[in-house]
Amino acid sequence: MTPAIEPILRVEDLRTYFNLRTGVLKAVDGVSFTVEPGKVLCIVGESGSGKSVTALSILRLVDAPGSIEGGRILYRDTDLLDLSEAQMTDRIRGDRIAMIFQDPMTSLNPSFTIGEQIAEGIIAHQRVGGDEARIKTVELLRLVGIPHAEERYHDYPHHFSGGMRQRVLIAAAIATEPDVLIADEPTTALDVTIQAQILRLLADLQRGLNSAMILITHDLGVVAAMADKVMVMYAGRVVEYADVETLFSNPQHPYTKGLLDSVLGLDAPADVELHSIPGLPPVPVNMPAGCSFRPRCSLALDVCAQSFPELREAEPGHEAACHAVDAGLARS
Amino acid sequence: MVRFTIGRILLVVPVLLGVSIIVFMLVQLAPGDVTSTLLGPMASENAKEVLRAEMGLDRPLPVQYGKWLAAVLQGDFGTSWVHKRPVSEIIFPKFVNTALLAGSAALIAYVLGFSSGVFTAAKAGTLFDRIVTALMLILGSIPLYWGGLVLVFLFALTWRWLPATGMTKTIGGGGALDVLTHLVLPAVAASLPSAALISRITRATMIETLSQNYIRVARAKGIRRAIILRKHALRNALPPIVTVGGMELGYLLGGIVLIEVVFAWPGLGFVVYNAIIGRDLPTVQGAVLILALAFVLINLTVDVVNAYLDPATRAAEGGVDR
Repeated sequence: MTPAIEPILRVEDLRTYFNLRTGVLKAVDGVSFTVEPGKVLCIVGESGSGKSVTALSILRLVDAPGSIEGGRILYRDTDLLDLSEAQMTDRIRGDRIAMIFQDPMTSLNPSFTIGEQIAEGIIAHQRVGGDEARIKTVELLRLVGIPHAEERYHDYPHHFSGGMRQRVLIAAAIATEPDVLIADEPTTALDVTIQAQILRLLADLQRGLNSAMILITHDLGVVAAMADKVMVMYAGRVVEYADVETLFSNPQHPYTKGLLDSVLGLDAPADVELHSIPGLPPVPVNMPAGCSFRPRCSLALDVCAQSFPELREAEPGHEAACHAVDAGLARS
Repeated sequence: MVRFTIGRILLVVPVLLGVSIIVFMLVQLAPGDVTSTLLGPMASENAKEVLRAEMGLDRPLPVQYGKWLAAVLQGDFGTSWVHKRPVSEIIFPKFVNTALLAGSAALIAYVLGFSSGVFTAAKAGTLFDRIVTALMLILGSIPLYWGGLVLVFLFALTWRWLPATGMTKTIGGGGALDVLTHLVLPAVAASLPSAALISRITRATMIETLSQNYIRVARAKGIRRAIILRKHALRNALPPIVTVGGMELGYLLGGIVLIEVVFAWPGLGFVVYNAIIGRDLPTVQGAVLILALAFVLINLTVDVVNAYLDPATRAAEGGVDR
């Protein structure tokens, strides 16, 4: 056993709600997790499960009508929710915690060169002049695999393909050697052939910097390739949280099982019908008591309609939130 | 970029030719016979015939147009039928007056509209935003002449801070200060509707720009809000604001006659008004031509500025940045 590494980021009971006219949308409802330096946590779930809002909440970038209603986000020993907006801007965002977004085509400002957009982050957080920032930027462009970095510094975003833009955005994110790297579906908008390259680049850089990474995805193939730990979210809550090996070999929650069953292996017979979870994920507005997965669950019990299951240890280091699991019914 | 600019300037030539043809046709299309206007209803057919030959009106239309255009290109707009003086002598000084008034009004509108638009966008949804936005809406809804009269009533009649009328000449008059004191009230009155429109456009485009993904990326990079507003948002919000700004300047040049009347400002609007009443067609032609030229030049400037603001056109053809 390797000695446990002290987490760099600890999220405890995070609750981010959106106050809508139709009611309160509990986008993130009591989510807790930790990430350790050099490790990758994958957050998995369908659209609307609260993955992205969880990520944005860490950087406190949730806009009205959304707001963080409770919980703690501990970076080292500082609760980020206690910091002022100015402290978040100057000391955390893009400095200690950096984020890479989903759509590289719209994530770069069309009016400035890509060099300027990387350098401005360096200038904002490190006491360097323009020249030094430019040299550093060119190095970063080389590091993320952009050929002719020196000349391309002066090119505008419209000169770049989606994959190249994502490399630029990755360069901007790692410019300050952040302790935590958040990547929100960084390859979803890219060609399949480019996806693997970008993921490998991310993994190499993250290992090189010994940063912690939170990788949001709905692609279980990506999870298998990248994750150390996996957190499965459903309707704003964590339903399962485990090591990647444990999760794939011994999934507990019926939702996780459904997700895994929805993936076809290469050795699957050609005429097999693709499994899907019946129904749609709920929009978590004015949710009734009980488990939010109950309407789609094949194992639903009476108790599932009455109270939401707590996240409980099913085995050491493996937590699931399911009454059926608690009752010992989920063993297959 | 250079090629774009040259190409755009070349495009202006056919536009101006078209304008000149329409303006030339004004005389031909005006009802009645030119010679009877000039000589009066009692003139003999013989005298009319002589005058027609003298003015070249018996020649074919294209020949007349060619001669007229050649003269216009040399700055000769013909002779006023009413004042018996060269049209250029009548309209150029007045055009300078109108341009001064319209330019000042546009400048006030830009500063007022742009700054209020940016600030309300930065504080969108707050009480400040709502008050300023409502205020601009009210100011923009006031008819020009009524707003002018209220300003005259308050500042010229009640408090006696500024003169309401009495402006005679901007050049060679009572000096810069005199011009300025006469300019303030009409310029402010004329600027209000434009200021309101520019404010609304600026606020809307700024809010639209602030909702873009790259703004969120900049926030995630830890860029301060002031820099995000000033650099990232403003830069991308500019093109529509420039377009509307140009349109408003053109509108002010042509439509400021109401303000000229309320404040007795000796501008081109007055001249055109009197020329139309007096059927002084050469003067109308000259004034319309010069206003059309100004309009075309403003639009040209807007296009070139917007092309410069867009890195894609700027960099195409190996422009300024490479």
